[in-house]
Amino acid sequence: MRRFLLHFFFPHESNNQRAKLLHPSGLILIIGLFVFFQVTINQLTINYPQVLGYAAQISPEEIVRLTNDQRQANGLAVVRLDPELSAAAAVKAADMFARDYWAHVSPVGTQPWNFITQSGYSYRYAGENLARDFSDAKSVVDAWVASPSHRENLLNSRYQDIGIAVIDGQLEGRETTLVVQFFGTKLSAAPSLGASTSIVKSVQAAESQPAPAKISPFDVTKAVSLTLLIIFVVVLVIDLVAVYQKKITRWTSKSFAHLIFMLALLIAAFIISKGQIL
Amino acid sequence: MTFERDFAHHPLHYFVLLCVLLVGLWGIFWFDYHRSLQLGILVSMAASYVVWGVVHHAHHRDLHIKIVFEYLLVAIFAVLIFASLILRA
Repeated sequence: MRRFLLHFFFPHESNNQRAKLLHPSGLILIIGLFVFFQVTINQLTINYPQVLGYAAQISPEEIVRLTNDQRQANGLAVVRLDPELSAAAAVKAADMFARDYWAHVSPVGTQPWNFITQSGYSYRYAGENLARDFSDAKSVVDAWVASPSHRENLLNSRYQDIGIAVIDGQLEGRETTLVVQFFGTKLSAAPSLGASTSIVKSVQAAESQPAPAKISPFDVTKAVSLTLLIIFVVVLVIDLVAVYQKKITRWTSKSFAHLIFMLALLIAAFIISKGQIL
Repeated sequence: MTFERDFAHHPLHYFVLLCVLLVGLWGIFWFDYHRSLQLGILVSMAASYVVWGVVHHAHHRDLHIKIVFEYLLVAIFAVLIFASLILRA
């Protein structure tokens, strides 16, 4: 065992004074194992969704509250939860699952506004935000606020009403929770100054709603990725120290460059969080 | 050549590498709401890294296909890790 560890992680005579992990064969092995790991995760997610899947705790009321917090913080009036807009949002989410698309406009060309009109809400202004794969309401709203275009929708002074739907289902081959947020102002409402029409935006958010706690494939992937990167960083530091102390001369790629690159990747991997914006 | 001698001979090379990676990291952080753009930035960082390796070793006159392969594998590993996270996020 000790010999194996020495061979794989430390510069040694057996590995030509360079940890085997840093040899092309070692790198190919790690890449192969990581690909295998990802394929396994995929299979487990499909075959055992009750164990490995997405689970979210997103409350529509919480999204409305956080949205209004943002609006008030920016000196805007709060939006009221409108049952017709919420119904429209639910139909939109159901349509996305049924037709398996992640977009503002459905594959058959249905615009978001069609859902709003069909629900009985005659709008003067309307807007849409979408979200998927987030784990909580705050992450969803934070993601919208971070995106300039979604933020513009969220903090639009022309909107008076809001409708929210948080629906679980299978989208593009994986379990997810869709959050559909509609904004609107009724046609009967007094028009405000400024330009008229609407903006449609979508954000990906939370995981499945009523589902019990599950192991998130993202969390597993992130944990494994960070562990692998940390191992690489440690092995590279050991390599640099050993080469420096023993004055080893080698004809290989530069460990220091690898170290800088791996550290950058480690930071990048650390930054990535659940949920996406379209 | 040991690291300290290499660094002393080519400080500009490492400075350029550091700048490229820092700019890339800033982009990944800044465009947190745009997954495909983040992936594009990481792929660009990885490609730049391979190019950096080739230029650096060509300058050293010790460029060999095995060395290029090593940089390429590290870059592939980076893209694989990052793409997995992006796709599962």
